[in-house]
Amino acid sequence: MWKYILKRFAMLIPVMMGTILVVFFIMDQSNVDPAKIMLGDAATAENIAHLHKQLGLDDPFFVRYFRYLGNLLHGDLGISYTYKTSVAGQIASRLPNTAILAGSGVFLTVIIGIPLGVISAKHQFSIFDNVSTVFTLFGAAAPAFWVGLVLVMVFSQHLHLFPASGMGRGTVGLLKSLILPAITLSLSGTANVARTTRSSMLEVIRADYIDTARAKGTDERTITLRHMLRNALIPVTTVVGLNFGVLLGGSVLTETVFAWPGIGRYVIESIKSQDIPSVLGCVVVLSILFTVVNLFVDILYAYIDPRIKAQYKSAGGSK
Amino acid sequence: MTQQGMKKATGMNEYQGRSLWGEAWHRYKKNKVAVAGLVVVIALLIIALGTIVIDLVTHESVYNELVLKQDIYRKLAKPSMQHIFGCDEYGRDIFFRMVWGTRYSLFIGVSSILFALAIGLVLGSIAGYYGGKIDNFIMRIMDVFLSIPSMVMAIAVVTALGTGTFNLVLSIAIPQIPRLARIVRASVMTVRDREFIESARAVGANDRLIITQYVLPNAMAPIIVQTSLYIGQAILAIAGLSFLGIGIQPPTPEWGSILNAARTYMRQAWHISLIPGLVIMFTVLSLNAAGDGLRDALDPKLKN
Amino acid sequence: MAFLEINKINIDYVTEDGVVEAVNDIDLSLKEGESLGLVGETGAGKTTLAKCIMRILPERTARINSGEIFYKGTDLLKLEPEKMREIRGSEIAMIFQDPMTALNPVLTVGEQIAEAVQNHQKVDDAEAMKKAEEMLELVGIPAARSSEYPHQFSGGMRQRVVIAIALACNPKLLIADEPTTALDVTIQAQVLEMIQKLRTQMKSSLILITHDLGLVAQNCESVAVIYAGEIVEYGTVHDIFKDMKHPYTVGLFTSIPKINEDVKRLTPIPGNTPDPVHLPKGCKFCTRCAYATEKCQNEHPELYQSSEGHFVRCFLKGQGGEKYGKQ
Repeated sequence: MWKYILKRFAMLIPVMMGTILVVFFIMDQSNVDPAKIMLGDAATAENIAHLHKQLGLDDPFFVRYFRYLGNLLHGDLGISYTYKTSVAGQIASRLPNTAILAGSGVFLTVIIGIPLGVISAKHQFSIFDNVSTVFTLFGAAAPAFWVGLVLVMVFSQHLHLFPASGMGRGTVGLLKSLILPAITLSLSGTANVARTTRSSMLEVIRADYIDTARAKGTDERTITLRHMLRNALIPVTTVVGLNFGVLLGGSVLTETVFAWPGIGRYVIESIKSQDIPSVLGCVVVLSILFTVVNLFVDILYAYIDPRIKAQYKSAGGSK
Repeated sequence: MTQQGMKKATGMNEYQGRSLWGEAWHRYKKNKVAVAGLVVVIALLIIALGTIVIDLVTHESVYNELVLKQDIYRKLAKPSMQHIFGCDEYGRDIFFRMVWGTRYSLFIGVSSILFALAIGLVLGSIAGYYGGKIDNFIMRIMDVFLSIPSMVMAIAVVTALGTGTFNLVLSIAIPQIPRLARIVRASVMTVRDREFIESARAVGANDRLIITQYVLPNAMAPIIVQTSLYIGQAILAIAGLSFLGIGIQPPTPEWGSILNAARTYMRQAWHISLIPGLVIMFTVLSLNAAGDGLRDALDPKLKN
Repeated sequence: MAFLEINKINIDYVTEDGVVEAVNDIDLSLKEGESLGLVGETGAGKTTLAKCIMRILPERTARINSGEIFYKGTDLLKLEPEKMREIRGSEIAMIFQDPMTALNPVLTVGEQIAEAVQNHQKVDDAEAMKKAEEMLELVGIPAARSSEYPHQFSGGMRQRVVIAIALACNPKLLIADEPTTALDVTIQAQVLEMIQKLRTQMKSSLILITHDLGLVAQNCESVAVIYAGEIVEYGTVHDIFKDMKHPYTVGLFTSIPKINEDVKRLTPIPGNTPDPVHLPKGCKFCTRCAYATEKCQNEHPELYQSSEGHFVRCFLKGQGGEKYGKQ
């Protein structure tokens, strides 16, 4: 198992380098001249040329790419044009906020989506199943930011239950301010997970080994949890992992709606002020986060499904 | 050898292809939700095309009058008989803005997915058909693209290239390329080794002909289903970008950009938030229902 | 009272295409320690009947319309679900057809056998696992392999695991549903021999479901031939092999190769099993029967007793005999 994990980590390095290359290349297409932005309107052509040289902006693409990569290894993501401080520092101060929001989003997705799917499948075509199916259809089709707006209108402005924006202080304040954005962020994922769980449960429910389990006198609860769900979770795990990417993308919208002080909001601010290093830094950090989370999902996957482990073992040739 | 000759030689007849889709349509018709979805999608297409025709015929005078003209006396007017969806912060009728905005969501959504599909088809079918090193190379590159969350990638593209319509199409399309390439590859791989491909090869068809004439037509069903489901996602993404202010720019009446103003005027005018969102949701819902119906119709085994 | 007595069981499946009558008016009985063969083609209703005895039919689609299944004097169909659960695995156990799909892929074989033990005996995990290892040894698998997963075993080995699960609690009645169909020919004999040996040791009764009359001849004392959900011939193995009556039984017999006879061609039964949604009105076999008369097409034959304990559902062959029925 450890060998598998190590191997997966090793495979991560070229993918990360490629990811950063792609992001770096895309952002390089921008025609914003950082020197002009940094020096302001008063800058002379000479000053600009000097700064270009200083920042190495005239170097060939790959030189700049590898320099960026090298700096990244030291935790250096460049200097923000607007804040005039390190991008890494800006991101570091906001990352925990995004992590709290995204983490709560995943948590809600899993603890609501999976039971919904399981109960729906166990009681196929019941009222519960129908209601849950309608919920998943709407949940997958509703624009998350709009759901956020509606939640604010109902729960903040009319019922005054939760704050409409910002991040509250203290445990209670934080939780109160977290509830609406977390629901907003998790809605489409919850719908997705519920749907996947339901259909993979329905496949498993008819499996022969469920008959075997019944025939040996296993009780219904154990059959559902130990025999059905453990098998049904295999595809669900993948969906949860992939959904994390959707969630990170969605956090940009959700943080904007709720003025949540995280990376997503930082990206949008930076785009508006044409602060390219900040946008680049955020995109790189979000991509790394997504890739690392998916690595954990892959490892979890191997843990749930012994066949994956075996594949690796036979491919690796040793136990 | 002619293509017809080749088809005869390989024993693949037109009838089989038609009966698959005929059969699928027969099953599709029975699915009420899917038919309802399809009806809504067709209605939206008619609206989108209709407004384009009106603009062409009237040289946008109707557009200017109904959609762009501001009227301070109707500012944030609530829904009423005259303005069934109410008015926005400039006193423009939201109903007409939504009607004229249909084309952006629909056509940018469809064209970005078709664009992604075109590239995904090429990459996916090469990877799936040849396998081995080529497959490995292409799919590793796709993995790299997949490791960037699609909304994040779209934001990066729009930031770098700017907010034009074509850039918007690109920003939605690029993240979907690896997903579609994967689906194409998987589908091609299931068809690749079937007998009629062998026989096409035996009568001397070249690879390009085999892929375009034999492999892809038989691998299309799952690809079409997924493509139809991605269009809904694309529409949500466009609305999201416009809401953030980095999609379609005002005063163009894109659905998401109408919602952009909603947050500011939420207190005074609930209808600006509520109605455009509902329209987007029902549009995506209809597209998804139509796509799901198509999947069930094409592969009844998948239906629970 | 007999050990197992099945009275007039009727089971339907409700499908999108209509109602399928899977089992019609089946009567069977089995003495303690006896073995009975259920023979018929795929789709004849054998597995449905077996799952009905176990009460593991799919709840939503299968409908038991009428009938009784008395096991040691209690009607299984009227038992509380929890009481029935206690009987499954401990009193009545079942071996399934396809060992490739009958085991849970994410649990070790040891865990799967131990679960059967813990379902019925209050033992801790370690003890249950010890019992599981004993069971593995009993079916010829080294105890050390108990921590392996199903995909690490061959088909024949998996079927041994399935047998170990079924026999883990010494059931009094074992239902084996085509236990060797999915296996290689070379392993079939071994597996069946093992089932026979173990069930004789444990003094269990056996219902062997198969489409192979040869297996029944070797392993069973009595046999019921099932066609389209009903019994067409029923008797002791001796009676039936000596004097088979029903044209379908004859057809089944002549479609298997025999070593001691010089037959140039096997005679398959013409046609297919009838569409279960649209069964023929009269004798269900009339569409494929070489002797069918107009009467066969219009009237449904009863099960006639042609000789003591030998019953046949046929106007031609059973005519003159007494009607089958319970006193």
